[in-house]
Amino acid sequence: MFRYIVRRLLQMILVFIGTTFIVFTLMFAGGEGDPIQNLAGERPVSAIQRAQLEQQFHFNDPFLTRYWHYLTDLLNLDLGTSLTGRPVWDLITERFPTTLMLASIAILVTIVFGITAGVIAGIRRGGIFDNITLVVTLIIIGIPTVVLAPIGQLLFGIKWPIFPATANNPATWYELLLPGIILGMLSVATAMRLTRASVSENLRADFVRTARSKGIPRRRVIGVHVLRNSLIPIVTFIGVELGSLMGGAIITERIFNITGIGNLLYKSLSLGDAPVVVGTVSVLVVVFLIANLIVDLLYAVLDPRIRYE
Amino acid sequence: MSEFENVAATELHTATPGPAGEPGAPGQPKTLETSKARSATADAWHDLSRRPLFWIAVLIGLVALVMACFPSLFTSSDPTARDFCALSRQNAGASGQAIFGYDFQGCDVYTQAVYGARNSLVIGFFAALFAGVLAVIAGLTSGFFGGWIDAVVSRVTDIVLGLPLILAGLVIMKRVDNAGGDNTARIIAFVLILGGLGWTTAARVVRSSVISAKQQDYVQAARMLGAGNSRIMWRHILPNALAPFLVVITIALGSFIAAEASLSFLGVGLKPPAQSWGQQISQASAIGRVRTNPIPLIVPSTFLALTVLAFIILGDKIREAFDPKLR
Repeated sequence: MFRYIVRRLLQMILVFIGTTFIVFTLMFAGGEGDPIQNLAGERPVSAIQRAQLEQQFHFNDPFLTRYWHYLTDLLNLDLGTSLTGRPVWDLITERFPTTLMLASIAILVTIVFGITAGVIAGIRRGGIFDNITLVVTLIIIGIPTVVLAPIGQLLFGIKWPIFPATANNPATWYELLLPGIILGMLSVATAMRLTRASVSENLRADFVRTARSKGIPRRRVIGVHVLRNSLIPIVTFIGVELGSLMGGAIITERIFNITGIGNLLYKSLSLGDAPVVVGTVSVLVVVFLIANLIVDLLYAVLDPRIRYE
Repeated sequence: MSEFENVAATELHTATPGPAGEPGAPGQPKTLETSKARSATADAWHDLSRRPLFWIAVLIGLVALVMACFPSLFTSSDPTARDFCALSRQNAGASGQAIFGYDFQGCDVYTQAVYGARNSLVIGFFAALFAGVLAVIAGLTSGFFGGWIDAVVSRVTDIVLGLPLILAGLVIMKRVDNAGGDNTARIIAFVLILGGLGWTTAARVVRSSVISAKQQDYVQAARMLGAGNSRIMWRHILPNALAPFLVVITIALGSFIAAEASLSFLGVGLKPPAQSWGQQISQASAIGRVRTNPIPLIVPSTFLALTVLAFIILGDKIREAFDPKLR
């Protein structure tokens, strides 16, 4: 177990360096015009100022040295300042709670609906409920967020105004309910299918037959023996799903005008505010990597059958 | 053993009269051989052809394909014409000229959606092709050779998986914009980005099929007969990975089309005059415009959702047909 954790951490460091290097290369590998002139705006930049700024931002250093500076700044949570002069870290932490609320609604929806439907469908495999949910989830998987979010807003925010069509700043839980459900939809469908597959597989496993033949009540067999083992793949899935959740959050936050991280990224992209874009993307990638690491460690804890040597 | 039982069972089940099913005494080993070879795919096909959802998906896919190749078959208007958009027709209702009416800028909603098919499908197909080539190269080499090659390829896969597709896409497409690329450059960039980031799942699928096929007796036999590495890889191992690989790539094709639409929606994808469903949804989804006229939002959304859905259903049904566990 300990060796597994150490090995996983070492792999994570490698992946972290690799992904941040790709992000850094994409952001800084030429083509942006003169960054110092961009910083100064319309004003002319004197040679002394230019030299000073070049020194300050390490423009004349070799590429790898610049990457090293970027990496250490990132680890020190120093993400620089936006073109409007505010620290990027402040901008991100300001909006983080809203996005966290949105993501928790989405994940909660995924867990509650996906797992419940998956367990029912898995137990009664081949039944009406199973067949209907299979078709419905397939359709939900096939409809991208970019369609689901505006259509959901049109139907439940404008046509039948059950939910508010847009959110205020800061957003309330109620305002985030509809976008959260829409964001969670995609994962609901996949979580349901995963649960269904692993429940129906575990129902045929030897340990379930043993439990049944010992006379353990059906409720307990399913609740304890089957469910615990079936949830292991779901935990992994939710970690991986965080990546597409982020992509979806950018779209949903834009549609519902939610002032979260996704909206910050979208706005700074359209304004060409490079420091904010770099900072936000880097932070999101790091969050994604850490979430996956936690999921991997949880996996080892949840499934004692797996020995990582 | 179980595979053979399965084949025998379906053979009984279908009970097609013909030489393969005949219990002819003299050539028994031979007929057994041919019936087995026929059954692997024919069986899956038999299963597929009875599923209505599969045929619906095929039909939608074909319509989208024809629409992408010959958009003029579906509409008589031309979106590049000078008078295609006219503010005098702003939000005008449906007419014989435009069956879904006009949008905020007075453009024909239906014609725009029809002409949006080409870019989506071109980007989806070529990105899937690119991803497929990368996945086969990565999966085949890492699964076949193992050792340090496997370790390196697997770490590269981990790194690429660490980059969420939409996030990386946003950053790269913004760079293409800044570099002043036109829509052709954007289409090429889309293919490279989506393919370059979307090959990981398929590579893992190929790798695991290759690893399981590598240990089979017939591969050892081929090696003992003196077959070289490349012959074993292409002729004996790769065909085993084909079915699961095609399933993953078909589903990826659908998700690439969705990713293109998402990025165009976020304003970093295709720009006018190029038509794109994502960009049409983006323009129509402004809250004020939806309130006055939701049709320009609904039409491209339906086109996009149906196309993505068709490919995802296709992949899902093929997997069900090929996977004996799901029967």
